[in-house]
Amino acid sequence: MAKIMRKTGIDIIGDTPWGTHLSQFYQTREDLIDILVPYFKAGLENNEFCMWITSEPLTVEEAKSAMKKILPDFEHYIVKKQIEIIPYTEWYLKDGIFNLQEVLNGWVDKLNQAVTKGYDGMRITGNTAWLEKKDWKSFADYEEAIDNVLSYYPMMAICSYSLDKCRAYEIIDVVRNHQFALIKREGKLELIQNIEKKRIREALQKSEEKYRTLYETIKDGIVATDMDGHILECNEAYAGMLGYSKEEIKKLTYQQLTPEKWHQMEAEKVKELIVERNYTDEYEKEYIRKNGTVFPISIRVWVIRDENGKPKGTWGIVRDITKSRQAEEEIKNTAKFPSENPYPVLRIAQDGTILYANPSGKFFLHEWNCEVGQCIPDFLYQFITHAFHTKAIKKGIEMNHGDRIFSFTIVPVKDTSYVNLYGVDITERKQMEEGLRKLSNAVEQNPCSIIITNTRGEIEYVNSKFVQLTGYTFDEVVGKNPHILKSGKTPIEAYEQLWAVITSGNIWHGEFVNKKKNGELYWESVSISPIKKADGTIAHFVAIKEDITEQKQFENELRKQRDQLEYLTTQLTAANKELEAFCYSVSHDLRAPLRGIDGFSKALIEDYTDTLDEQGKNYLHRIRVASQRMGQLINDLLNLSRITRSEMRRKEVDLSAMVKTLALELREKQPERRIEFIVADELIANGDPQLLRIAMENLLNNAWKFTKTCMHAKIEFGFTRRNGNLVYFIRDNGAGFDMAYIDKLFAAFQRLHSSSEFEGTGIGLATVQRIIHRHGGQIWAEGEVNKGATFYFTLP
Amino acid sequence: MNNKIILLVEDNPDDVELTLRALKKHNIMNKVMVVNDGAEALDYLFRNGKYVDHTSSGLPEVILLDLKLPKIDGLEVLRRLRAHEQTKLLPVIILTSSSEERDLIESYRLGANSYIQKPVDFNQFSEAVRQLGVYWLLLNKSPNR
Repeated sequence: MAKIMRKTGIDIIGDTPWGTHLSQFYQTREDLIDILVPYFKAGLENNEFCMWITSEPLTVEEAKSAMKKILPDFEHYIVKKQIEIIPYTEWYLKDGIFNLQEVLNGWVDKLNQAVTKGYDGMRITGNTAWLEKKDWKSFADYEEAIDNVLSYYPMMAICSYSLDKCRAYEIIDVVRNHQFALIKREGKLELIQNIEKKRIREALQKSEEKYRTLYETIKDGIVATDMDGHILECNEAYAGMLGYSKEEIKKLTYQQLTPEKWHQMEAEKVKELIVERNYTDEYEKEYIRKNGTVFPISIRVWVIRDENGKPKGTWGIVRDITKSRQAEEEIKNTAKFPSENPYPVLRIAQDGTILYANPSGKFFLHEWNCEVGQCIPDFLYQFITHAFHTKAIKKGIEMNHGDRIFSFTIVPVKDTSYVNLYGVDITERKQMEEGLRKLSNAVEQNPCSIIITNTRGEIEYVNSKFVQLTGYTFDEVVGKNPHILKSGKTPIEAYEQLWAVITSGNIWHGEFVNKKKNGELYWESVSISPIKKADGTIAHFVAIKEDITEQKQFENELRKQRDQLEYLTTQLTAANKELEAFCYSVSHDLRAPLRGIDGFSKALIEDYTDTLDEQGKNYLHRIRVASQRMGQLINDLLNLSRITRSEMRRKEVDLSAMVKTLALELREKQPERRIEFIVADELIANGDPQLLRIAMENLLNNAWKFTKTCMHAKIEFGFTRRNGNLVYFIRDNGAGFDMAYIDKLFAAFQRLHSSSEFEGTGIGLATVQRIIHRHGGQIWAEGEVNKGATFYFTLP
Repeated sequence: MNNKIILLVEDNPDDVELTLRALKKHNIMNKVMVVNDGAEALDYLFRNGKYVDHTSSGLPEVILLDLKLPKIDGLEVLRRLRAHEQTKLLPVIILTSSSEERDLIESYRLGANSYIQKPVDFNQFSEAVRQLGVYWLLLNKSPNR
């Protein structure tokens, strides 16, 4: 019980703890009233139940009227029965005799009732005026007994003794049995304190406090019951293990807390303890918690007996043994472990003899070609020896058995001459490790930089590419936000959008300009995805980032080049336009004067033939030839430029048929010539039919022209292959050319023959070359003077 | 055939001279009306400008039209002739130095009846003039006007 100070109402004493036992020596009725009225007033006002046992010289009525004088609502306390004022005959001498035990029990009953009603405790007084000499001895014992009782209950008492009736030895007895003695002498109140009693009381209080602390802090439950099993008292640990409050549990019996199957056993235990042996015993049973769960306990029980040796209750110390039960289970399981263990267990003596092998262990023995009683293989022996030597557990000895991998642990057993070997199948773990290793390598050695952050965006991991790219070390960035890479060149909205996408569980793709540790900017193509837990919540974010700086630079370069190209194309178009205008002008304006020169020369020859001599006619003739030749040059030049300017319209062109037609036209023009044409069939090319016709016409005209002096002229159109590509050729056996001048062959206005030998403007082959080039093809020639020429060309 | 007028639209006097010579050489004795630019040609045909009182002769039998002309070029002249009810059926022969394909195509698109590139060689030029004279003045039947 807690040590609570109570107000006595008596000035000279002040506040005292529960259990205070006072004596009062009085002479007059007023002496009694002076002490007891304020004593009860304080009790009533402080929620205590009060019992006033009166005797002469104060009657019940006098006591009540004295109380009323200082407590106007005293009647109220009477009605609600907070105070009982009764004559001694109804309390001490019920049947005319004083029974110590009966009176003591009476007090305890009254106290229990008071506490049940909600009072803090009880204060009492008893008058001993009725005491006769024959009762003195037993009353003194009673006073000693009540002094003991008081120290355990929330009670205080004042025992009144008539000074006139007490003899000296009786006064000594009284003072010895009480802590305080109040004496009214010559109208003045004096207090005699029993020093011995005080010392004992204080020692008792200390000791009690000590035990109470123990009682409340011990982990074991402590419970006191009466013989019927009602719980009278318990500590917090007891109530706590059962899930009740102390108040709740005090309304129960221990039987109610115990599953029925234990009732008989427990009843017999208690009976045996109580009836046959006065003995303390410990046994195990189960309790039911308030929430209905059952748990094992061990309980040590002993019986409390009264002065007569009659059992009045039990004390028990209770321990929750759930955990130790589990440990026991484990120990039990471990004991049968080796034989049931699916993994190898071996015991090997110091000299290498195999002492024991479980079924799985025997597979290994089989593999090692040995059995129990024989020696283990050498490679294992060295480990065993080492284990004995160091007395240390050796882990991680890996051995294969079929396609499984086992890891063995050698455990030296203390104070024995053997070691135990435990194997574990680690195949899956190995595979998982291997898988993890691959994965982690894939991340760590990834050519992209990889960042893993938590959901707050704090970096938890970066791979080595990240370190290499940014210049930050792993330790510098862990715990930081990837914002450290911000260059300020990416708009805030981009980050906001990013965050919105990934926190909603989606993948974000995009590009950033970021900043390295050294301040250098770089471009990144980034993909950020949330990593989700099994329950779908986001645990991490992973960013995979590719450095696209070079690509960006390349794109920039490309853009620049494209812009440049567009510029050039515009320029070229403009130049072409100009050229076109120029050509138009040339074709028109240059021809007209030529026509004049030629026309009027002709007019001269015709109209003045009589007045012109031969020389004059010859000159006019040469003027005409020259002007016509110039006309031809202008025509060829315009054709050449037209080839470059005109639009290409590609389609399938039957070159074989085209050459055959052209050959026919040539034959018709000069039917007198005998020329052998060899034309390969079905040579189909893809190109502009008009341009290709001009090219083929020029090539054939050349061949025709340069074979005019041949006896057996031969012109061939065919194909061959060079480096896997189709190459067309037109070959003749005519005049040929000197390979020394090959570089002049395709240049405009360059001629390798004089006009007197072979007519021509020197534009034909330049035209052919342009046409072939416009088709993306190549043209080249081989020749030898008087042995003919071959023109090769490709048309991709 | 003599009363049939040929309208020659040509700004180059040499070409005019040579054309007339070629016609004469081949005994094409029709009257040749020569105008030196497109505007004059239109004036003549629509009796405008200095030709406003020129009522003596009717429309020409055939027009020899150069393309590159001062003031209004040959294609424009052709376009206007073809746009006009009175002249839209007149035979128009383009007689030009140009061998540009786009001129050729544009001429035919606008309704030219023939396109002849004037050769530098007078012999060929003379032959071309003879043929067109024979065809358009002797053989061709024009709608009655």
